[in-house]
Amino acid sequence: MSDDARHDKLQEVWGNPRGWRALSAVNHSTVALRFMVTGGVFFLIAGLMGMLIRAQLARPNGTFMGAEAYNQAFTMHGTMMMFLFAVPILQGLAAYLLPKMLGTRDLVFPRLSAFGYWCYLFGGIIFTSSLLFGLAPDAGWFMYTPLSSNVYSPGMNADFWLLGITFVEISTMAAGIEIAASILKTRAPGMALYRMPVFAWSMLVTSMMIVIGFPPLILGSLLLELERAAGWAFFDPLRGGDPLLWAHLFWLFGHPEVYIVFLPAAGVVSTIVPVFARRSLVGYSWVVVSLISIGFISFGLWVHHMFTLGIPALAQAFFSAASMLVGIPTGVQLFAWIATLWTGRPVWRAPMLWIGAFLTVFVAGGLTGVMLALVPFNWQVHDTHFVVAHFHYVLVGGMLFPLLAGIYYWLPHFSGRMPSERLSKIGFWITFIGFNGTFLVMHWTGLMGMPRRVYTYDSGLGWDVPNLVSSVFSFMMAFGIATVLLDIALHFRFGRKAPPNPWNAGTMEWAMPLPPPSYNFASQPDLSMHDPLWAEPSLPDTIAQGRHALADASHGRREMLGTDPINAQVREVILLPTNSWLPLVSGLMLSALCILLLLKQYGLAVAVAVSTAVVLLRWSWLNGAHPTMRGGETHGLPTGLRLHPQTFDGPGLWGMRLTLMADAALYGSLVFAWFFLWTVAPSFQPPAASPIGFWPLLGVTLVFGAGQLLLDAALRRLRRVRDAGNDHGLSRCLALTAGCGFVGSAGLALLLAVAPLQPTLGAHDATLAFTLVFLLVHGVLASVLVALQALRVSRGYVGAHAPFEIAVVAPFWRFVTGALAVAWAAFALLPMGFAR
Amino acid sequence: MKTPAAHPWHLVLGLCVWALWFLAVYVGVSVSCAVVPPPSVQGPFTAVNAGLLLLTIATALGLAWGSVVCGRAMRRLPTESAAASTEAGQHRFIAGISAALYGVAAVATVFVGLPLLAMPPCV
Repeated sequence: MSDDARHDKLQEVWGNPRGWRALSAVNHSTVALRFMVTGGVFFLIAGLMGMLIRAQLARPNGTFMGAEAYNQAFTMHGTMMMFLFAVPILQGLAAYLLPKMLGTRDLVFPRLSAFGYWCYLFGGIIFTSSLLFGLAPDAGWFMYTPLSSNVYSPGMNADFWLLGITFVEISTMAAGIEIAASILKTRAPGMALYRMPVFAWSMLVTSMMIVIGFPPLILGSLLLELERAAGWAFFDPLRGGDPLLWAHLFWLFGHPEVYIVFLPAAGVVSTIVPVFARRSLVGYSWVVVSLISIGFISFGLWVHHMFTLGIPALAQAFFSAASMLVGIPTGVQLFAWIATLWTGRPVWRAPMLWIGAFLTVFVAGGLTGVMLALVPFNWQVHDTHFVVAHFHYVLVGGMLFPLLAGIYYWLPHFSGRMPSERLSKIGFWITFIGFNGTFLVMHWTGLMGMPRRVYTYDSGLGWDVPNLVSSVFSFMMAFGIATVLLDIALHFRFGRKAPPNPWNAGTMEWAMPLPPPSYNFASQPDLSMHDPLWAEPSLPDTIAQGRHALADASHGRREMLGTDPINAQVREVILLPTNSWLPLVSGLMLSALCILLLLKQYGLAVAVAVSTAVVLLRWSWLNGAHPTMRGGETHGLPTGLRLHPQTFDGPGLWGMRLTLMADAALYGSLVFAWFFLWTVAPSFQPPAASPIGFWPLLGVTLVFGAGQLLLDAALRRLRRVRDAGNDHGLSRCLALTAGCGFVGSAGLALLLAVAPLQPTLGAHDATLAFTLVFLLVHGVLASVLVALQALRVSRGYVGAHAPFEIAVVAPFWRFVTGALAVAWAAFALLPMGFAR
Repeated sequence: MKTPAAHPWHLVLGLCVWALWFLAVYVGVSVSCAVVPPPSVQGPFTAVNAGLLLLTIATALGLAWGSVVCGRAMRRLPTESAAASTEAGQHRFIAGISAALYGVAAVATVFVGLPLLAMPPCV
C-alpha cells in the first residue's frame, strides 16, 4: 500500500466530520485545541477583571468601582484564572501532546474527553454569565463561610460559584483520570517507565494529584450548596457545624492546586530546555524523584493558608516545616535545568526567553514562599498585598511563562508555521517588565501594611505611589500579552513554513507531519530508547511508510496498542469509540440541571437529573462490547493479540481504579468531616445513641457483601473458563448480585426514610443523612450496572469471549461494600463505643 | 530476574507511609488537645509529644531501612547502558528511584517531626 493510500484510509477511520457535525468529533487533537482556545478566552476575561482591580486601586479613594463590584471583580479574577484557565489549558496542552509524545494515536477515552470539554465550556459560560447579571460571586475565590453562607450572601452569587465550578470540575476530574490511564496503558512498546518523557511523568503526577486533590473541594461545594439551598447544617457553628471545616476542605484542595498548575509547567520546561541546550536532560532520575516527592509533600502544606485561624502552634509547626521542605525537590529540578543549560550548547530562541523569565521569577516567588512558611512572618503579612505579590510570582512565573514558552515551542504543531523571532521578543520584554513592575512593587505595598480585598484606601498611608506604579505597569503587562497574542495570530498568516522537526527535538511529537494528521502515526513503532528522534532520526520516515505496528486500517476500527503500565510490553489492541453526539447531549443536559438548580426549580431538576442518568446509561450501553463498537472482531489484528474487550485488561479498568481513588478521596473527606466536627466543632452535640441504630447498616453491608461474593465467584469462573467459552449461568449469577444490590439499596432508602434524622437542626444529623444519600446513590448505581451486565450477557455481548466489562464493574461493587462497612464503623459502631 | 525491591509499589510506598505518619501526628495532636489536653506548664515534656516522637522515630527508621534495601538492590543490578534487557534497566531504575524516595520520606519525617522536641502540643 502506498503512503498516500494508507493516509487516506487512516484519515477515513480517524478523521473528524465536517461542518456542524464537527461538534460530534472526539479526536484528542481537536478536543484539546478546543480546551486551549476556550482557556485562552477565559484568561482574557479574567485578565480584564485584573485590569479593573488595578484601575480601581491606582489612586487613593478611587471611585471607579464600588465595593460590591470590586468584590465581584477579585473573586471572578481568582476563580477564573485558577479553575477556567490554569488547569484546563494545561490539561488541554497535555491532552494534545501526550498521545504524540508517547507514540500513540489518541487518549484512551475519547468520548469522555469530548464530554469533559462540553462540561468545561458550559460550566464556564454559566459561571461567567453571572457577571452579565451583576450576580457574580463576591466572597473571594476561597468562598470562606460564613461569608459565603446564606446569612451574608443571600443572593445567587455564591450559588453560581458552587454549582458552576463543581460542573467545571467534572471536566477536570475526567481529564485527570483519562490522562493518567493513557500514560499508564498506551505508551509505545519499549517505552518503559525509565524511558518516559519527563512531561509525561509530570502529567502522571499532576493527574494523580487531581484525582486525590479535587474531591475534598467537590465535597465541600456540595455541602455548602446543601446548606444554602436546603438549610442542612454543616458550617453553621450555632447548629454544631464549623466554618473551619470549609477552610480545611477548601485548602486540602487549594494548596495541591498550586502544584497541579506548576508541575505540568515544570514538565514543559524539562522538555524545552534540553532541546535548546542541545543535550539530554541532566539528572533525569532526580527530576522524577522530585516530581513524585512534590506530588506527595504538597498535600502536607494546606494549613499554612490557615495559620491565623487559631490552630495550635505545634500543629502549625508541622505544616510550616513541610512548607519549607517542599522547596527542596523544586530546587532539585531548578538545578537540573541549570546544569542542562550549563553543560549544553544553548541557543536562545523565542521559547527560551520565557524559560529564562520562568527561572528568575519563579525562584523569587519560591523564596517569598519559604518566608511565608514561617509562622511569625506569615502572621505579619497575612492578607496583605505581599501575599498577592508572592502568589503572582509563583503562578505567573511558574505557570504562565512556561505555558507561553510551550505555546511558542509547539506553535508549528498548531499551524505548520514558525513564530516570529522579532515580534515575539518585543511581546516578551513588554510582558516581563510589566509583570515585575506590577508585582515586585506590590511586595513593598504589602510590607507597608496594605491589606488585600479592600476596594479603596485613604491617602497618606504611603500606599499611593506603589499602587500607582503597580497599576501603570499592569497595563504595560496587558499590552505585552496583547502583543504576544498579535504575534501568534499573525504567524498563522505570515510565519515561515515549519520544516520537519523544526527545533531538532528528541521527543516523538515531532515525528509527524505539521500540522499532524488525525491519527498521529501511520504505524506504531517500538521506542526502546530515550529521546527517540535523536537516537533514530529515520523514525518519521519509517512510521509514515507503515513499517511498524497497526499500519493497516482497512478493517475500519480505531485501534492503538495497549501496553503494560511499567515495562510497556504489548498486551492487547485498544479499540476506541468513534465520533458521537452523546458527549454533547450529556453536557447540555447537565447544563440544564445546573441552571435549574441555580433557579431553585428542584422538581424540574430532579426530572432532568433522571433523564441525564438515562442518557448516560444509554451511552454506557452502546460502549465496550456492544456490537456497534465491533469489540468482538478478530480479523486484522497482529499475531497473538486480541482487542481489549476480549481480555481482562484495558484502559477502562484503569479508568475505574482511578475513578474509585477519587471517590475514595471524596468519601474519606466526608469521614474526616464527621470526625472533625465530632472532636473540634464547639457546639457539635452527638445524641446518646446513634439515630440509625446498630443493625440496619450492618444488614445492608452484609447484603452487599453477599453480592460481592457472587460477583467475585462469577469473575473467578470467567477467568477459569475464558478460552473454553463456557459461561453458562453467568447471567443468572449477575442477576442475583444485582438483586442483592437492589435489596440493600431499598434497605438504605428505608433507613433514610424512617431514621429520626433532622439535618436542618444539627451538623450531626446533616452529616449522617448526607452519608446515607451518598451510599444510596452508589448502591443503586452499582446494582444498575451489574443488572445491565446480566442483560448484556444474556444478549451475548459479554461473556467468556468478552469478559472485560465485568472485570471493570467488579471494583465498583467492592468500593460500595467497603464504603458501607466504613460507614457502619463510623456512624453505628463508634458512637456506641463512646456511649459506653 | 525477580527483584522485590524493584516492585513499582516502592515508588509510592515510602511517601504513602510519610503521608499516613503526617496525618497521625496532626490528628494525634488535635484529638489529644480536644480530649485530654496536658497542662501548658509541662511545655514539650508531655505524653503526647513522647508518644508522637516515638512514632516519628520508628517511622523514620523504617523508611531509612527501605531506602537502604532498595539502594542495595539497585547496586546489584546492571547499569542502564549495560542492561541486557528493558526489564533489567527498568528494575534498576525503579529500585534506584525508590531508594531516593524512601530517603526523601525519611528526611521529611524527621524534619517535620522536629517541633515535637521543642513545642507544647496545645498552646
